[in-house]
Amino acid sequence: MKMNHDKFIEAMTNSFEDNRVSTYAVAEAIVREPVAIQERLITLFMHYLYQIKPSVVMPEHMLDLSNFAQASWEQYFELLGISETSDIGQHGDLLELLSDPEGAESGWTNIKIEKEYLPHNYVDESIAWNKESVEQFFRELSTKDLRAMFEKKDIQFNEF
Amino acid sequence: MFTTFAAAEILKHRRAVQESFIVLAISHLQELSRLYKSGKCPARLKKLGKFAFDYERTVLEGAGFARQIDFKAQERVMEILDGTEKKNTPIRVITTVEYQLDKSEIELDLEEDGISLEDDGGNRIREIATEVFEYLLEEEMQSIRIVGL
Repeated sequence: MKMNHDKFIEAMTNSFEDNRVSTYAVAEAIVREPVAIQERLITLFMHYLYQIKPSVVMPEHMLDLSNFAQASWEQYFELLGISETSDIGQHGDLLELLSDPEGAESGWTNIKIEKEYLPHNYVDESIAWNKESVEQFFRELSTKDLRAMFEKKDIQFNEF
Repeated sequence: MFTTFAAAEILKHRRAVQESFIVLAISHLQELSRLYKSGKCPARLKKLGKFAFDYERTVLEGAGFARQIDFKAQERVMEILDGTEKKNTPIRVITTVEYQLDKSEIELDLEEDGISLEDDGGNRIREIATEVFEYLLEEEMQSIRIVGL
C-alpha cells in the first residue's frame, strides 16, 4: 500500500501518542526492509536532530535532547562530511556519501558473552511486577549467569 | 522537501512522542550495528551497518545511551511473569556484555613489545577482554533486549 508523506508521519506520531508501538519490535522489523527504506528513516532522524540542535528558541525541557542532537552532528555526521541537511536532501544521498566497507580488510574483533532467557520459565505470581522490578530481575539474574560464563571462559570472538 | 517537512512535523509533538521517535531510530541503528558486529551482515546492509556501528561507538557510548527497554516490551514480559499473558508468543530476553577491539591498535601495542600479531596468537585480545569484562560485569553494564514481540 502506498502511503503519502503526511499520512506516514501522522500514523507514526499517532501510534506514539497512543503508546501502541514497541520500538524494539519495529526496529527489528525495519532491518528486514529494503535498504532504501532504512536509509530514509536514518535520514529523517538526522534531519530531526539537525532541527533540534540548540538555538535561542529551544525550550528548556528539550535541552538534553538538543545537546544530544548537537553531539551527534559535531562528533559524527560532520566528520563524515555532512555539514548541512541539504547534503542528505535526496533519497540515496546518504548511501552515496558512505564508503563501501565491502572488501575492506577486517579491522575489528567483537568479544561477547551472551545469555538468553525464556520469561515463561520465571513466572512468579507472588510478586507485584512493575517495569523497574522486571528490569532489575533480569539484570541480577544475568549478572550472576554472565559472570559464571566469564569464569568458564565461555566467550565468543568474531572478526568483522 | 519531504524529509525536512517530516522532521518539522515530529518537532511539533510533545516531548514523549519525540522521545519515542528517537528511541525507535536509535533502536534501528543498534540493530544494524548488532548485525554488522556479528560478522553476518548481508552485503546490501554493510554500508548502513558500518555507519550504525561508528555512530554507536562515537556518539551513543559517549552519551551513555544504553539500549532502551521500551514500555510495550516491559508490559509483555510483566504479563508473562505474573501469569496473565493471553498470547503464547516465544518472547526471549537476551542479555549481553560485549566489547570491540580495533585490530590496528592491538598491532601497535604488540609492536611496542616487539611481538607480532601471529606470535601473540590472540593472547593480548584475551587479556584485554578479561580486564574489560571484569569492569563491565562489576558495573552490571550488560545490555538487556527483548525479542520475539
